[in-house]
Amino acid sequence: MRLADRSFDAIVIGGGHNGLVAACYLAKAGKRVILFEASDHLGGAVTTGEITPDYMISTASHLIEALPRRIEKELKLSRNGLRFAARNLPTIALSRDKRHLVLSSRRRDIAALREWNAHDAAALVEFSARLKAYAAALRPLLLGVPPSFTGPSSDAVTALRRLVWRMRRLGQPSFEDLLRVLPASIGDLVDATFETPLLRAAFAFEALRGTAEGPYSPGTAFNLIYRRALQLETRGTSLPRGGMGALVTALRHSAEGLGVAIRTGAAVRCIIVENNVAVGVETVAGEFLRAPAILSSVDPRATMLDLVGAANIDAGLAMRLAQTSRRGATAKLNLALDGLPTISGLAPAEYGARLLVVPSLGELDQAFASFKRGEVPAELGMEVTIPSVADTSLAPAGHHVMSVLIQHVPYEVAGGWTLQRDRLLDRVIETLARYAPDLRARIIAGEMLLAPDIEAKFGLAGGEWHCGEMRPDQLLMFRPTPELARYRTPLRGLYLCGAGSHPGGISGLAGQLAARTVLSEGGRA
Amino acid sequence: MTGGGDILAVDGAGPGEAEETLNFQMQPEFEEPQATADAGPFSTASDEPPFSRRVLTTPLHLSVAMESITNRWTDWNGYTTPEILTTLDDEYRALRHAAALADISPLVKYRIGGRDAAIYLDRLVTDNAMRLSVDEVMPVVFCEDRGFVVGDGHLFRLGEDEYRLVTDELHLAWLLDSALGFDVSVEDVSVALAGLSLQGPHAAAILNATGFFEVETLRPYAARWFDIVGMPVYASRTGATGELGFELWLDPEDAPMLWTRLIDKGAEFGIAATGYALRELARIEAGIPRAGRDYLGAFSAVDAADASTPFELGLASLVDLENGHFTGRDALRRLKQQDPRHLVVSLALDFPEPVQFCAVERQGEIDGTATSVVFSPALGINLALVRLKYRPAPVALSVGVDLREGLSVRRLKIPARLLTEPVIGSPLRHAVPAPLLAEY
Amino acid sequence: MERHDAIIIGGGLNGLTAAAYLARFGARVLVLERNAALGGADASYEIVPGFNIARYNLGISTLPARIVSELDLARYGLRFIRVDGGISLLKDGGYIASYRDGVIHRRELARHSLKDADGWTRFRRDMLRGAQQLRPLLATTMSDPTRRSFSTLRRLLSTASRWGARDVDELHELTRLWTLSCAEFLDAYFHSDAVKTRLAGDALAGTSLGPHAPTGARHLIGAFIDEMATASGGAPARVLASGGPAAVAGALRAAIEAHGGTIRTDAEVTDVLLREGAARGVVLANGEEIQARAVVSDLDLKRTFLALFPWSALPGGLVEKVGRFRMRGVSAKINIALDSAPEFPAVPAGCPALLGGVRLASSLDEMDRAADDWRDGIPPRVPLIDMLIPTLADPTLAPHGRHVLSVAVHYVPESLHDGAWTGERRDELTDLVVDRIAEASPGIKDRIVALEMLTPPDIESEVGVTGGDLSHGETTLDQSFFNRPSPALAGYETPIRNLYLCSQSVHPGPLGVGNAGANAAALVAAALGKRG
Repeated sequence: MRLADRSFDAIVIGGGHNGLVAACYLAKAGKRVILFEASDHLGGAVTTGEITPDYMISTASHLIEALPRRIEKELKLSRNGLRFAARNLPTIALSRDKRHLVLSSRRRDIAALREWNAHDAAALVEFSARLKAYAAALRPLLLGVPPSFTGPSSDAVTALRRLVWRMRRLGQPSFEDLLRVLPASIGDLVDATFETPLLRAAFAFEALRGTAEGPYSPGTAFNLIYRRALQLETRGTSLPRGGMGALVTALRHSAEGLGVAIRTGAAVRCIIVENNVAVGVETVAGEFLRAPAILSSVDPRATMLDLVGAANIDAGLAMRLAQTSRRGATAKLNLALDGLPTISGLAPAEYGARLLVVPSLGELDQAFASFKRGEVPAELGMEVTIPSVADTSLAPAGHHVMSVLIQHVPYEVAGGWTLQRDRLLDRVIETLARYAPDLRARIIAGEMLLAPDIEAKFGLAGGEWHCGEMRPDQLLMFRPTPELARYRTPLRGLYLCGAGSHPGGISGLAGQLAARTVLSEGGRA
Repeated sequence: MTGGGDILAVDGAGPGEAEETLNFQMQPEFEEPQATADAGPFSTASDEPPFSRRVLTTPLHLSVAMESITNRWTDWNGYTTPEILTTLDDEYRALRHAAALADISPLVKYRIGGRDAAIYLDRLVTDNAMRLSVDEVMPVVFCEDRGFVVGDGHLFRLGEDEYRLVTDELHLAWLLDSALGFDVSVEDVSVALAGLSLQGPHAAAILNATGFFEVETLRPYAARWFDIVGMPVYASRTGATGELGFELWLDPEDAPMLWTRLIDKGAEFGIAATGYALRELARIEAGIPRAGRDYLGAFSAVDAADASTPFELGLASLVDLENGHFTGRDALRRLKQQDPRHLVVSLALDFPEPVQFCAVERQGEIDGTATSVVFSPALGINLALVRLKYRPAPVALSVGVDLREGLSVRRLKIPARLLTEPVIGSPLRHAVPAPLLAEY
Repeated sequence: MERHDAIIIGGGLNGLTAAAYLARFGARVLVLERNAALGGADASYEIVPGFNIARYNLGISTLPARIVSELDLARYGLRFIRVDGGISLLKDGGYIASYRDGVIHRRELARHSLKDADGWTRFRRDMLRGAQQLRPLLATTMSDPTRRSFSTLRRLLSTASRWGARDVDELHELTRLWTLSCAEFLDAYFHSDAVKTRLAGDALAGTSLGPHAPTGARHLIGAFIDEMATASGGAPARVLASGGPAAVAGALRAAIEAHGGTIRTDAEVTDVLLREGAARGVVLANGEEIQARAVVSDLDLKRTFLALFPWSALPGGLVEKVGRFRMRGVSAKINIALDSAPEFPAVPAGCPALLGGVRLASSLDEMDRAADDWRDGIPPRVPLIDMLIPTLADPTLAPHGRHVLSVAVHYVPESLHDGAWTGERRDELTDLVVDRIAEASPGIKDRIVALEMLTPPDIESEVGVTGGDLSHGETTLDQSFFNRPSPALAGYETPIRNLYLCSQSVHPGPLGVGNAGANAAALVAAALGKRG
């Protein structure tokens, strides 16, 4: 069937999770939607792949942490095949002296901590409570369509006034604390909060995960609040059965069930602009398709500069897009293992948890310094999961797969990755082997994705996972730039719905909110 | 060897010695001024530290200096430039009744080339640059995203993929920033190109006599290459004077030679070398605001209220909102629906002697600033460019002037009137073919 | 027993400013200074007889223009010398200077990048805009946004409305300026590394932030805070006090005494007298008690509360809050007397920017490494070195033909990760710095008549400022505005009645020293029922 034979209300460019979510919501509202994905499979960096035959793993991101319950429910992801191998995964910071720390404020875990350090046990309870309260206070601002700043009667005025109320309602000490925490560095914050080095380092790592900053970079404490706010919408950290690809498969089924036409292997060459209106797309194959609404879930920079073209947008906007910061800092290691590695001191039930391998705060700072200079850090902070513990479908019986996110790995290193790749790999394995001495012997196969690999494989510029770092100048009404915020663009009929738009994260929220925006405007009015 | 020394060198040369001085110029040891000019006011080529107290001169400095009987100099874009060479009245008379020759080399010139040059420029300027043909010129204004004017100038199309942008101020940063996503090259060619301006009713005749054959057939805003005794000269029918006139662009090495030829051949037509004061006078009479003086570019305006839209500068005719995108178009579409915040307009003050004033009052309130004030010798009144707060309904205007009589001051309040069109504009400036002397 | 309206503890510039204002308002003030010389960290001394030099800081200490005019300090002998912004010497043997004249400055930038010569226009515009927004805040007393009162709520809501009504592009610019790192912010304006290195050095010298640390960009505004907004200008001028920093303290002293105030040096306060939870006076080291209706402390926050009070007398939680305030010194000082003018072969002869000082900062990367060394508690391997030869602008500071060289060494930690600052380690750093200077100025070692080095601990023990932190607390955003030092204390008042703060530990901190003193004085005067 030729495309021109059918007409569509909306075209979605890019079949990542946000693109799929946007397509689903539009289709749910009765719109005829077609989705184009350049590669052969959907999902982008949210995908399951094979390390070596029979060993499956989430190739890049490996946990669902921010998918709101509402999206899960409204898109009937469960009915469309999404199953969870584990929900509410606990987080355990591994300790070199085998006194691993469960980062939670559950009574049992706190009791364990109290035996170790009573001050920190109390501090952790209070810290967790405050974090949750701050996240709750900021959530309405952080997780909706960013307010519009259009003068004295704008919804920004209302939003900020409400924020004042919510912040005040926290109570005087918390309000005061929040004002201090918002601009603070995570290092200064944990230094002032905890005594146990492991606790300090673990929370610092949590705040730095996925960023290109160090523990003492001002503003990093906010990351904790932001992530916590996203989690408030969810059912906790979850492990989808079949890896992250399962989420995309469910979204695909949901979309197809709603009548979305999905075309993979169909790259869009450009967005056709006529007199300041985006009217359609042209595919690389040379097909033309028009629709009143076009949503792009690919990188805003690529959307505006490559698909729309610099000639159709203002020079300042082009420059601001070019300047959006994306410093990839996270690498991924996937390992196929012939058995469960023994992590000394870890209870059998805890092997399925989210494991943090963190050096000390000082070493974390050193790692950041190495990252800045384009060197392989001496000590690495890592987030490790062994998904096959809960999901036996991933590996042959008795065998396992391990998924490792490595923080502070630069995009470029002195000497080039060809020379340094093995050095990094050695360092990672060596670090892990401190906790699991038998790991090295169990490795059957592995793959490591560095920032340039992630860029090449998933089209994420700079190997940065969020399509634009999550920083105050690139969040909310500034994400990705002020003129492209709120999912709209200066071109009528063109919308952004990807991770580069607010709020980012693997939440699908950008897709959902963009779809809502399109619907509220009735496509191109 | 500084320009200062050079001025002294020609000081002694009276008008009668012009021929001798011409030879002077050809001698290799007098190539020094050009070497100085190559360095330019803003150039990476210079080895001299920026603070060295040298006089920076244009390639025409020696030639121009020969015409100076007043020794009045001023600064124009960092160059030492004549303010008045003889008397302003004589220079003005030449402009309006014969021909005024001026050195316009201090203007900033950019060469823009490359495969995407046309679409790049079309996105840069508010007008539709795609309609500019080879050997045509258009006045342009360019804005940033919010619709505020960054600068203005003239855009020349020299070839299929080659353009030149001539402006009053530096714009390299914006031109390069705007180039993101285009296959273009932008190059500051200010020092590689000398400029002469010949304005006045006899301009075409003088050029004709100098070897610019059929120059009269050039339409306004048209340009063409000429061969003047082996020197390639690009002549355009442009000039911000409201007068028939041409601007000549050529290699700095050739410029003094052309200057001398023009002075020579123009003598019988009453040509006069003129300075910067006349350029300003003519511009204000023609009602043309100048960047940095009558308005601030968007990137220099510390107070955003000091930046202007093209509409506020009276340049709406240079804005084409319909054909193709340009930077600031969305903003200007919105702004067009709104009242301007202020307007830059011409003001006439019917007072028979030159005055200076700054504040313009409306109903007793200060409502505007005079940014340029001149006494028009032809009209015998004061003319000004003023930045007035926008008022939908016309209200009587007045200005307070301080008249100095000896050491005492008399304060007067004088009614002023808004000028809706330039007070001076020669009908000849549109004539094609341009009149040669016989027909004048 | 003596009685005064107000006692000012500490004769630093903020304390003297507060005293001068209070004296003008008609209060009987007494300034008590521990050391023999006034000025606190802005004191100068004779390193050898006849050679005057700022002892602890570079020696560019002035007061905000409004204070100079309100206190009529010109009448009391204060004179200024305005000079160009200075020079940075680069790794490749080149240099980059800052000139006040717009054309000359652009020419200088053009030597490094033709584009940057034009880019300066937009940069300067944005700096002046930032300064215009910041300037009124410096003269404003912060009010505690967390206080539970209707008026506070009303003010918060109207602040929210005001911000919500602002233009989103402007807010974005503002957010970038206040949250980005220096390096990233400068990338949006300039291409040349030399230009960026020069500007980042201007901004970050004396802070704990490296060029890649977020929120560093806002320090770029500092140099523009008193700059006039004329179009197409050059780099901001540096303003020196004629006669050195001592002249500023001297003029303030004259102003105080002219209005009946008293100044006592060599008078160390050891305790604040408390009665019924209110400050009633002070006790000196010699046991002398002096009563006053108000006590104003120009000591840093930690010293004020942790040294002048028994901790048990302080309200609950205050000790912890004060303890959390980060004060860590970042600069060491080397004072040098020279028997002739130093030469800098890289700088062309006659360069007027030399008067504004010479910085040895070869690249952003080296600055970043130095900042990392500071955090790691090791003496910087390649320190950021700021030099000023005040005798070039003001020859009266040294005997004829002789010079003093004031050297601030930045990113020097107050405490080392592996032990104390021993004399040996101080000498090591001194040698390193002097060697670096000698690379830039050959032959300077032979010209040295006298040399003295002060590490942050030395500065702490002499000036009394905690951690040797000349800015009285790190200037990160979580310690700025109403967070400096905390919402309840940022308004100069304290939980102890009649006790006020006026040091740099309180808003606006080191941005325009004197502001805190002036702002606090207005509050104290009102409480005393005095008003000028």
